[in-house]
Order: sequence, then C-alpha cells, then structure tokens
Amino acid sequence: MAIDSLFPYLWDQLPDPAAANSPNGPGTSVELLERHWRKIVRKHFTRRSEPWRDFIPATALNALKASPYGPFDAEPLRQATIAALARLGEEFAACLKKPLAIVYWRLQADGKRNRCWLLLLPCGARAVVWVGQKKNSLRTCYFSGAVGVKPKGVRWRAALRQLVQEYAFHDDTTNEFVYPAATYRLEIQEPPEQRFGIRFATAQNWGFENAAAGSRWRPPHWNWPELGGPDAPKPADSSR
Amino acid sequence: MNPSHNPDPLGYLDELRESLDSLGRFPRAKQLDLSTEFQGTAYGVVSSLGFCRLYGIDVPADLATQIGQALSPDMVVTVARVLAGVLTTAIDDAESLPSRFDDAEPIEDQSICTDFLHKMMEFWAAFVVIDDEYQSHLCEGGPLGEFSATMDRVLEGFQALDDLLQQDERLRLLSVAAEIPLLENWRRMLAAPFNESPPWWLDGTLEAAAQATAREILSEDAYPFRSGVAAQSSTPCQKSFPVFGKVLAEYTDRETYATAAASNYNAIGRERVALARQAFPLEGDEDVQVKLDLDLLHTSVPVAAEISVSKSGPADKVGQYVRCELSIPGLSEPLVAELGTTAGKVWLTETELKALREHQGSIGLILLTADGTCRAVLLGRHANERTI
Repeated sequence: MAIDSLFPYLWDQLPDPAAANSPNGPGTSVELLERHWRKIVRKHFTRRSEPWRDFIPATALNALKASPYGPFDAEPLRQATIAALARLGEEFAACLKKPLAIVYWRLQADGKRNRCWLLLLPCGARAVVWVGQKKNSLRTCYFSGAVGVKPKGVRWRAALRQLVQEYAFHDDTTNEFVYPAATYRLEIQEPPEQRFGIRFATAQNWGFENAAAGSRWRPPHWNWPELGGPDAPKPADSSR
Repeated sequence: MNPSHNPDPLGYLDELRESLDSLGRFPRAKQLDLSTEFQGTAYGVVSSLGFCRLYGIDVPADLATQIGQALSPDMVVTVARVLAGVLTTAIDDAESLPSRFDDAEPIEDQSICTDFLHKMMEFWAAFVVIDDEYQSHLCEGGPLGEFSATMDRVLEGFQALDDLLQQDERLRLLSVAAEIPLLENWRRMLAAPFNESPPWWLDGTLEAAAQATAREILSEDAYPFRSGVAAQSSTPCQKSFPVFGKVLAEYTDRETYATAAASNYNAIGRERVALARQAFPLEGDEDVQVKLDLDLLHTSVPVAAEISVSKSGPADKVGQYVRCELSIPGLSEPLVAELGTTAGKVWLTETELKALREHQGSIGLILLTADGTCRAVLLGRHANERTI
C-alpha cells in the first residue's frame, strides 16, 4: 500500500504575524518542503551546540540524527519526523499566537521582492519563513550558538536581546534601545538585497512601548507558559 | 547624571541576579563535583557581570556582596577553565565558518556571522572579570599554580581565535554585521576604559572589510568590461545598442523568480553587444537551473552569439568546477560546456541561433555546482564580424 508523503508538510490555521491586528487577523499556513527539512535535520539537529534535545523527543531526535538525509517517509524516520514536526508546530503556533516575530520585505537585485518572517520560538530558536503569494514556506530553523549554550529557561530572552541589538537602535542620549523608523532600510551586499518595512510584531511583546519610531525598549517581563517538553505525548499522523 | 539615562539598557542586572540565585541553589556537593550545569551557571554569573563592566552598569550593593561571596579564586579558576573550553569550541566553529555560511539559507547566513560576534562580546565580558580577579589574586600574593596555567590557556585561545577570524575570508563574512546596527549599538554602549581601545571587531576593521567587499561587487557589476570578454574586443565603444533581450531567472523546483528586464548595458565593443545580462545568487547545495528567455525575434543584429558565464563567491566554492548544459528547443542534443572553475563560454553557431529564433528564443541553462553568484551574459555580433 502506498504511503502518502509527509511533504510538503503543512501547518495551517496559524495567525499571520504581519496582519495589522495580529494575532486576531486572518489565518494562514506554513509549509515545509522536504529539502528544507533535510537541511534542518542535517545542519542543525546534528549540531551539538543546538539544544534540540530539550524539546524534541529523544527517540525521534536520535533517529533523525542517525539518518539526517532521510528518507523521511519511510519508517523508522517517518514516526520520528512526525513527532519532531509536531513539536515544531507547537512552537510555531505559540510564537504566532503571541506573536513574536520580526517581519520585513526583501528586495533582491533582480527586482523580486518577498516578505519574510523571522520568528523567535519559545524554545529560543529562530525560524525563517518566506511569504509567498500563495504559500508561506519555512526555510530554516536554528539556534544561535550563543543562545544554545544558555540554560533552557532563559534562551528565548537571550535570543530576543540579540535580535533587539541587531534590528533596533541604541539611543545614547538616553542609553536605551528604541524602535526603528518605518523608513529604515538595511542594505545587504552579498547577495545584494534590501530589507525594509522592518516591524517587530508585536512591539509590546518584544518590550517596546509601542510601534512608533523612537519608542523605547525594556526587557519584557512576561514568560512563556511551559510547552510540551521532549516527553510530551506522541501526536497522531495528521500532517496533511 | 541625566535623569532619563537608563542605567541598564539590556537588562544585565536582572540576568546577573537570576544567575546568582541559580548558583546559590546548587547543593554544595554538586558544586564540588563541578557538574557541567554548575560550571555553566557560574560562567553565566561571570559573563553577566562582565557585561555590566563593559557597559558601565553600576552593580547594587546587595548584588556586589553576593558576587564577592560567590567569586572565590577557585570559582574564578573554574570559570576560566570553562572559558578556555568554549574558546576551543569557537576555534573549531571559526574553522568551519566559511562552509557553514555557504551552506546556510539567506538570513541564516547572516545570523551565523552575527552569532559569532555575540559570542566574542560574551568571551570578552567573561575575560574582563576573570582578568580582574587574576590581577587581584597576583597583587595579594596568591599562588599562581592552576590559575596562571588556565589564564595562559585562555590567552592562547583568544590569540588563536583572533588570528583565525581576522583572516581575509572570515573577516569579510563577519563584515555582514556592519550592514545592521549591531556594531554601532555596541560601540555606543561601551563605557570607559573599554571604549578607548575596543577590540578588532569594534575598531572599524569590519566596516573596512565591508567597504572592500562593496567595492569588489561594484567592480564586478562592470562585467564584462573588465573581464576576458572585454579584453578580446577592440576599442571600447561608448555607443549603446538597443537591448532586446530579457532574462528570466527561474530557480529549481517551486521557486520562480520574477522576470527582470536587461538593463541598457550592452556596449562591449565596436561590434559586440550584450543582448541580455543577469546576475543571480546561487544558494545552497543544489544545482541551479536558470531559464534565459530571450527575445531575439525583433532584431537582425546578431548572427552569432555566445553565452558567457562567470561565477564569484567564497573562494572555496568558486574553485569548484562548473559545468553548463544549454538546451535549445528544436535541437535534439543539449550543448554542454565545461566552464572551468570560475568562468567560461558557450558558443552558439548560426544553426543554433536560427533554432533559437525559431523557438521564441528560449534557452535552458543548467549550472551544475551551485553556491556563489553567477552572471550570465548573452553576447551578439554584427553581421560584418562573423567570429567572436
């Protein structure tokens, strides 16, 4: 009997972090292609400094690390993939329901432009989603090395602080970080692209007073409710 | 002090307090075991305290008392040992930085580099505290022994890491940080005396590397004027020929990129014209298929043509051999060109050009071996110059 492929894997009914009234705006979905999943497994799950063991079931993680090139549709990797993607799905859902994302436009040298979400997951990992006209695609998901070595409970705060330092501005008259102006553009050289329309979604969740240019930042004091850990109940195969 | 001045812009005091509380919760027996968890927590205390010093954040008296109790010489040696270990790991990471950068997705590649700089800041912060304690230890006449040996390992680690990261290729990768506010933010926060002689990643070195990269990219944009193609031509002609090519770069699988009209960029020589030109990034480890959609029907100018492909990018990737397969509808066999390591040409005969015209000028160009930036140029020739 033929088995349906897990890919493209789809997480649906997620809030769109770029919507004006997020997380209450229209729902959207994020898909994951097999080649991107293979990269995540091969490059990140196998990397010692990335603490995936803290939230992906050990059996699943070990199976994936043992065969990082797949095939992910065949057992035993199929169940491992389902379990790992279900945990990642919980992380996405929690992140987008908050939301805790940086959204911006990328303009490439060939004139193509697309929207991008840089998500900060509750576990402290960053995820990159490219927004398409029809589909949104998860391109990668990874722990920054400087964050991965921190104790589990403080990783997301450390990652948040990194991102604020990378995308917000320090005002030395008040010695505090402030929200970037709407006109702010990043010029990336190689490959050449511009990033513009940079927004912290939502500003308050990130620790800004509001989304006005110059709005000051303070480390946020809220915390994530405990999500399912590595030993959370195994989900059913309901990917498609 | 300015009343609106925020004494702790990034919340390091809260982090320091939490780290100290965590450290205090370890049972004495576990502290003596020097478990990884305990060492990590102790390192966290020291690095948070180091950031307070780098950024001139005043530590309240109650916290200072707690720190004084926690930072015994033995504890500092333990943390110095942790720092020596993480420096060794960082050296391994620095070795693989170029390959990890090349293998990364867009945005992730930048994160790999900025992450390195975040780590460098953390190493520096931890070292500031460890070195202060070491100097105090020496002044008080404490025994050198293991403290001194560990400090030697730390300094050797810093030296090796600095040497590696300041090599040209890695410096250029790290210079992506100059394109975001990160480095300037750090400089603005640094307090005296640390802002008077900042480390290499904050002293303008990365900005200079970014500018050098920008200059190179700009000069590459002059392609093919500066390359071998231009060298073959006669006196450069300033006259612009009409551009009648358009290029559609279409990536593999489901990612379709928008059509980009060729710019008015075609005066290569007296008789040579660039019909179309496109640069496209090659990402990841997959072969890239590019479709060049050429509108040659509305001109009689070219009677022969060549496709010239060049490749640039990180040295270890550019050096990989490139093979190009060119398929023209109407021709049964694809043209295969061995492009060498960085550049090459595919010559189109009149028959092939005729086939190209008859089939709406569609060429499929498959580049085997990705990574880097690829530039494809279709060159045309006037009728009175039969060879290119």
